[in-house]
Amino acid sequence: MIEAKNVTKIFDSRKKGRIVAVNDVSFEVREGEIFGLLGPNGAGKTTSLRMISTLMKPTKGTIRVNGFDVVKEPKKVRKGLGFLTSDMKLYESLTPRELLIFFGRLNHLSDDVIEQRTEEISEYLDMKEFLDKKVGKLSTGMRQKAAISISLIHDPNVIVFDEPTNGLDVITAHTVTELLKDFKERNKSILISTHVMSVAEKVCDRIGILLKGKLKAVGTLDELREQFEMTDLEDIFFTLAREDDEIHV
Amino acid sequence: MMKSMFKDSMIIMWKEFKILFRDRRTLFMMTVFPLAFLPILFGSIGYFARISEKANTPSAIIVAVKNPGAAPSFMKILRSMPNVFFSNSVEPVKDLRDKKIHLYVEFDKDFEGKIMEDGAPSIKVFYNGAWEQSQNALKIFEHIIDSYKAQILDIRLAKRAISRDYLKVLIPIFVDRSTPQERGGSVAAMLVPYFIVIYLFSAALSVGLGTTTSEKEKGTIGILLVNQVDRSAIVFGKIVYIMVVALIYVIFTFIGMYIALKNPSSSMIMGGKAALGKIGFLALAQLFIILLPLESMIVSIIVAIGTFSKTVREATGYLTPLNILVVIVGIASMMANFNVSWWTYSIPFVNTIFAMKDVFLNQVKFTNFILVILTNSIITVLFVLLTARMFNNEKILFRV
Ligand SMILES: Nc1ncnc2c1ncn2[C@@H]1O[C@H](COP(=O)(O)OP(=O)(O)OP(=O)(O)O)[C@@H](O)[C@H]1O
Ligand SMILES: [Mg+2]
Repeated sequence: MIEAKNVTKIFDSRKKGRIVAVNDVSFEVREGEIFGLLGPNGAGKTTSLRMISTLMKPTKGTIRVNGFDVVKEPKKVRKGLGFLTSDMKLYESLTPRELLIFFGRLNHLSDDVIEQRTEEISEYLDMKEFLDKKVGKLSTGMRQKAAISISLIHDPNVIVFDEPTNGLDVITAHTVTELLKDFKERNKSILISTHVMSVAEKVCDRIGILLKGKLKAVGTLDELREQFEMTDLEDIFFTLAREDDEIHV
Repeated sequence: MMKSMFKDSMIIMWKEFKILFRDRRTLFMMTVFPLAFLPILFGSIGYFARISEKANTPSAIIVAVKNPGAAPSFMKILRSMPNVFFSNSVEPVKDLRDKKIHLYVEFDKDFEGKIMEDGAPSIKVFYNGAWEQSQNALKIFEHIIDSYKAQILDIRLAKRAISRDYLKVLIPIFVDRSTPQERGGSVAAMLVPYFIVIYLFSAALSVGLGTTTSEKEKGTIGILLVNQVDRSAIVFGKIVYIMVVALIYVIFTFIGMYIALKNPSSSMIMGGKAALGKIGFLALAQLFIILLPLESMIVSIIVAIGTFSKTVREATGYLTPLNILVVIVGIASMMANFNVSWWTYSIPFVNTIFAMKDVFLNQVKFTNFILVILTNSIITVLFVLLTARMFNNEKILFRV
């Protein structure tokens, strides 16, 4: 369960000046659903997810994960959270198995449990053949699978994935989306970000459209279609973007 | 709480070592390189020193003589020497400058006559001070003059029926009451702290930035931070890891130095193995106790700066002044041959110089010793806390 209330993030950087990356955003991700943050480059997706995963603190507003405040109880938040972004890289000279052991131990799992989880996840993600190869020698898709397996080693019930299918081929992307759907069946709360409409359409139960840091619309695909009287998510997106003067077509 | 933090830092350390053991180049630089490099370096310096000494000792001394007829007895000695040859140079002074002859000797016109009349004639020896062979020839010639003087003196004393012993006014005897250990110790007191401090720093620097700044640069730190692990445990684990690696590096360097100093040809450079081989066990233990807090302080500063910096290059830039400071400390430890008041022992870096010197000269004062350890440990803790805070600061982790 994720609850974000009136969350704002302002960056004061000397080079770029003041940037409102996330502007008064509120939404929640319930148990047993996949929520998608859809937005173009620079919309504030990664920033939002980083705040949820305790890597950044909101300038204003509150975020609760599993009922714990991300600022006040970051450790408890992390305990129940699996987080993945594309800018988080793995140690190249270690193998996926070694990484799973390392992060499993850091999450205070016993070696037996780690072994069992490694077995399960690698079976699930079809990682068996490269489990003992160094990350540096793996392909993009293999690395992504390894990163996903690590974020799931402690069996979190909240999963936050930033652009999880970015740069993957159709088969690997399919494996990942199937995994997300399966986790939904297991009653987990799943939040993903994407700039790809089709991903949002196919995978997400509810979609939040993020533009220039503002959440413009939230709802199921059907709700959005009804609200905007359009069938195509892309049309809805461009309508909102034009309203916001974000994109000139 | 404390227990789980300790456990976490051990897990972090385990990961760092695992990565280290996969890194052949760093392993090589840590172990094989110091073992091979120092013996080769010292050995070759010694070898070249010997070669140049040989090259600069003339096998034949070429001498031009003015008025040889005035000093027949002296010339007789000279002619009896197998390695002295005479030149009929017309311009001896010019030839000396052109390195054609080694020496040019000018006897007093009435040399032998004055000798016979118990006078003191002059003998003028020209040499070329800018030419090592000529200088060495001069040394040999001085010996010849000395033995000639001794001969004449014997004759003069015999004429007056005076025994040679009559000239012995007193017999001075000088006794060095220091042990070879202590003499070795004072050499070590100069050199060892210098090498330890410099090597510790350079080793800690490369390993330290490798596990802090480059984790940021490569983007591997993020995954660590979204896990439950305590930030202080990350910092602590990394610091212990860097310290262990730097210590291993220093130990290997010293083994290399020991091997190098055992080689006789290196004795002329460093005063021989006395410099290292004769340090006692107590001194070693004391040294180690001082070194640990010093190292932890250096490493904690490196980790703090490494965590703050965005790129390795930026970090190296920040650490340059520290590097210079460390070199100054090292050099100062070789020169500072005086004792200081107690509060000096509470100045970081400086205190270590004097503490190490005290150890080698066997003059450790307990309170000063404790003061050194305390100061450096407190600074370490401060930097650990600072770094742990930085790990929680998004402005430092996501600096753009
Ligand atoms: N650490 C930071 N300091 C300053 N500005 C930042 C920082 N991180 C992000 N920004 C700015 O905040 C805005 C939102 O960035 P963010 O990375 O959240 O977008 P995004 O939706 O993830 O985009 P993309 O699809 O390109 O990943 C951008 O203008 C970016 O430049
Ligand atoms: Mg992004």
